[in-house]
Amino acid sequence: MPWPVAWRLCFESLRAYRARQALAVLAIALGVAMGLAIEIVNRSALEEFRRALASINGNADASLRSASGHLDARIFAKVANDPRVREAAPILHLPVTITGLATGRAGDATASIEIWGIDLFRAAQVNPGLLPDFAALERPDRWFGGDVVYASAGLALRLQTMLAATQAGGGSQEDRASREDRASGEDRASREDRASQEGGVALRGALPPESDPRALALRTLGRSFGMTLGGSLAQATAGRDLLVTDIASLQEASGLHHAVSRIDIRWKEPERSGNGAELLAELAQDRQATSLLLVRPDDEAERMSNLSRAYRVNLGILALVALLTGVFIVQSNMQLLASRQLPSLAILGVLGASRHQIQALMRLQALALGLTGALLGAVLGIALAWILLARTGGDLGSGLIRSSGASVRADASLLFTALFHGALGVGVAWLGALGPVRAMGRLSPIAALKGALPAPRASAASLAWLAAALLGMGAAGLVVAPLGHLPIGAYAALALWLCAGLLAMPLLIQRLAQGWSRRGALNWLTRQRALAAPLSLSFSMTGIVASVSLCVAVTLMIGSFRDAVSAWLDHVLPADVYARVLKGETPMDQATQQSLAALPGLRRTEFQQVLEVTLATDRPPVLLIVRELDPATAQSRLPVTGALLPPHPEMPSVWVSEAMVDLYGWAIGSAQQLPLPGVVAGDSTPQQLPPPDVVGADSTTPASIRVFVAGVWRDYARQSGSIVIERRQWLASSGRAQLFATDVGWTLEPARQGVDASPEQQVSKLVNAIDPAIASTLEIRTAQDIRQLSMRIFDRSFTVTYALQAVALLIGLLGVTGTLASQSTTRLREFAVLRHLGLSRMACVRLLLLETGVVLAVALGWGMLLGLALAWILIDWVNPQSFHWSMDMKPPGGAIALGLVAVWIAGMLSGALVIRTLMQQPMLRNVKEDW
Amino acid sequence: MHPRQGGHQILERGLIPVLRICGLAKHYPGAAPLFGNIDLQLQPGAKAALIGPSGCGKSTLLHLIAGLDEASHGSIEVCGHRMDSRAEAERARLRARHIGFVFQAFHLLPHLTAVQNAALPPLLLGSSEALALEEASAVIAELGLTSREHALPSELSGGEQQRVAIARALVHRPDLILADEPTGNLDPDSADQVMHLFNEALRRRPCALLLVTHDRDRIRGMDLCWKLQHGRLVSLAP
Repeated sequence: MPWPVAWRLCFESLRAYRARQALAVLAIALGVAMGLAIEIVNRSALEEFRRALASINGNADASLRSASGHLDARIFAKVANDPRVREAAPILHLPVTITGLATGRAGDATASIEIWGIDLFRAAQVNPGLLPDFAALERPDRWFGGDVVYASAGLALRLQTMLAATQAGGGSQEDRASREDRASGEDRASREDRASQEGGVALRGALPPESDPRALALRTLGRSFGMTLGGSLAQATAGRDLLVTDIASLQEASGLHHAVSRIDIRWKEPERSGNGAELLAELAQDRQATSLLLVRPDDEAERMSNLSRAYRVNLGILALVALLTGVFIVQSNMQLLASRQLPSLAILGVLGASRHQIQALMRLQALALGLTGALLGAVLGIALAWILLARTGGDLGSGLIRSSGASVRADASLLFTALFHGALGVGVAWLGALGPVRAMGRLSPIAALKGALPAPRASAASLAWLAAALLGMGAAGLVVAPLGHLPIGAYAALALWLCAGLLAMPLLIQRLAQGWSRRGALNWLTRQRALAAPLSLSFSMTGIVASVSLCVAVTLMIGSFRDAVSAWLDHVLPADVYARVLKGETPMDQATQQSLAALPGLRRTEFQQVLEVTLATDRPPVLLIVRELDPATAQSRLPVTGALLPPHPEMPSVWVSEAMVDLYGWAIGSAQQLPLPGVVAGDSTPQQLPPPDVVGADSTTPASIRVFVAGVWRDYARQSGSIVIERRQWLASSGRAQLFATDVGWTLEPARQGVDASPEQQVSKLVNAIDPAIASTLEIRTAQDIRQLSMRIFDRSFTVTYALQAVALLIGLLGVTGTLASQSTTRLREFAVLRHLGLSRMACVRLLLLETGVVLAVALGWGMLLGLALAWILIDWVNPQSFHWSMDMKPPGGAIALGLVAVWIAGMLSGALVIRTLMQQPMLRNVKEDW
Repeated sequence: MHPRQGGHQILERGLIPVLRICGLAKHYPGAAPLFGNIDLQLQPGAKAALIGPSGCGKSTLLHLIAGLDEASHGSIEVCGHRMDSRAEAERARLRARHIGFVFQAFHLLPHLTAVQNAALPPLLLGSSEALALEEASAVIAELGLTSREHALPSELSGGEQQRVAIARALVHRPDLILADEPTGNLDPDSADQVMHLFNEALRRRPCALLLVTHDRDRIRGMDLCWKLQHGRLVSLAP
């Protein structure tokens, strides 16, 4: 067949049924758009994160760090003089808060800021991205003095705006008071005093004059100090907010005189593979160099990528399922098109077109649908990604990936991503056309001329056998171990069980039809049609079954998860009021703890310290929680899963989160080596240098301790892992004299009716009773506030998932409408005959509504059952393997039932619309050709 | 012969005509009238043929008789019931009770077996499945198709399909059968066989027949014959 003829035939047919083709195109476009948008957003945010890291890491081949937090600065000399090392640059980075700015929301505007101390000349060789922008220096005479700080470009701009507003008197009274307090209080005096004691070295850390319009009041590790904003950094840090200053100034201002956070290294022979291991081995012989880690520049980006990968893959899979639901719509469309074109195709066949040519024509039509959908989807997807990046900074709800500078970049990567998702859309159209094209290949032109429609080859029983096989394969997939921490086997099981459920539908419909009432002509006709054409009926509902099962599964998973988180919050928030030490403040020492425990109206006060421990360089740090806990009754204070072992006679007991078992193999009953966090040997003044865990160790402090895993608990807050250790055992085994608490929980005395104030007033009374100096370093929240905030964050994290569900459901409903329309159209002759036999127009409508209602109800019921099975996979397999936490299945029955009824009503309304359109057609013409 | 003359003797016996059409006209907006001023009467058991060129309005006339379309003017009575002044549901009920259809292209429902197809009219009239199938089975046996009663239409030959269609038209004992070229899709031998069986079955029933045909041979043996041409109904000698 000549191509011009083929094109003409193809497009003429598509144009003739353009409204229905538009449904298929829309379904493909929505699926492509969602998948593409999610991928672009995730990729842009990750790329931005990588760029930020690259600009900071510069030319470093490796970075030496400590598993316990900070390195002893004296190691630096050894590293710098090592024959393998060409250049080494020390860096100290700390969280910092900027106080007293005029926005009145300084906390928001300057949140997540770090201050980095660098050695200017060494950084020029290793981390040039951290150097100031020399071309735009404001004060060339003091361009890198002790009191000058440079900000990353975005932050510099914000700070300049806020400083100008502050100078103009725009700050709130509270801001100004805070600024004055911090700027002119004891800290200024003490630092000036200390500076003079140390020889008056340029008053590092002293506050700049109040009149300086670029003066910044900073606070880190509980210390306030001033610096002048000198300008911006030379290179963009891609959305990361940094302040950079001289390392010595920062060490002095923070009190960490002998600590560095990392040493970035350039090797003389970077291609030599043994550099890192040899250096670590030599350093390990030194007492000062404990718990050292050598991190590659890519490790951090890889770590972030790994951490968010499960969440990203989950969203991607959901988007893919939404897209694949479109297959069924395309299939019904192609079937309708085939039946409508049958006379033309038959004539073509008789005139000499081969079956292959006729099949090629149908494939061409499918391709046209797929390409149009893919193109529209790509445009929609890019637009959606642009909106999401602009509004959420790339955080699709997980809270793991967020980058203020991320945006859609028109580059080759975007083109390839769009092409890939577009190709998926075209693939969906191709897949949808597969069945009708094959069926057409089996039909002879003569049979087609007589109006015979391609008959399905498979029977309900044979499809059920295939479904059973897929069910078995899916079950086998469940026992496959995760691949790269991704539950590939469980995902495969999801797909296989979904397909099995769809393939089992014809048999299910047949079985149900056998029990259907035979009373009345309409019931009888419905029953006979279901018995005789179960494939066609089930086929019309595959889209809605797939989308409903997916929605039920995800709703069930989220509902169970929400219940589990709620119960977990009850367990982990037993107190009434909680306080946490603010970022940049020192933990609570013994005196502060005593003061807080002595507040009036308290039944119990509990302190805990949260520390970070790095167990693997390619994973985020694990949290070590030191708290009061009776090892014998740990289950009363921790949401323990499974058994609890009695305390070990020789080793301190720890209770680890499920993630520790999955990620690090810390199984219950095992003995593990726990590196001690925050040990920097040799500092002589531990009591003066916060945070005390960073310093304060002496020669008797061990580098790590051996612990016994006595139980496993659920921790929904930290998927990277957490370890709980009892306070006394921790102090005894780690060689620490006291606990420096980061958190406190207060349980109030029960209010006596008519005697005591209300609980709200009790809380207010408690907060007011705290020493203002201590209160200013704490973030205080009631348990109820924390619970509400947690649930809000939980709901936000599933916003995109809900959106994907809605899209999948919409596509499913489009499928119902499309297939109903196509099947009803192909049954016009049947209705015409029935009307001749005495069925009224309204009876035809009732028949169609009955069929639609019953089949839709069966589809929804089956979709729900299928959804339950898929939810089981999600809850018991995908979640533990992806996020390393477990939960119990608690079906939100009411919500699911309500949702199913809503979908049924929506399906019936769309069915009614189709039937109404159908009944407006001159139905009788379908038998008129005889007369 | 005048149309009224065919059933004259029966009228004299005081029986109600199966079909009575008076002054019937049909025209579509913006188009020339299809036909007008048609009078026609058919007595129980009478057999009439209707011929005419394609597009002359034969199908529309049948639609109007069956209550599937509405006339512009005139009245139609089937077994004494006015079809033109009733609601659509009522017309459908009268159609189910009094009229049987036979199409040229058989139009059996593809997912029903032969006996199930034939059982449709009694089912639509409210018979139980068992009774409807029993009646259908009896008519199918009468038409010589017992061995094929559980076959699907796709498994039947053209002649067999038409016999099932005839069984469907007869099973509920209608008063009037509207048959359109029932042999138009069949070879001459099958056509003769089908018509023979059809006539035999009709002979055993008191129902009237209005047969649309182009085959002059089929007109022979009819009580009445009309030709619809240029919007007018002309009586012909059968």
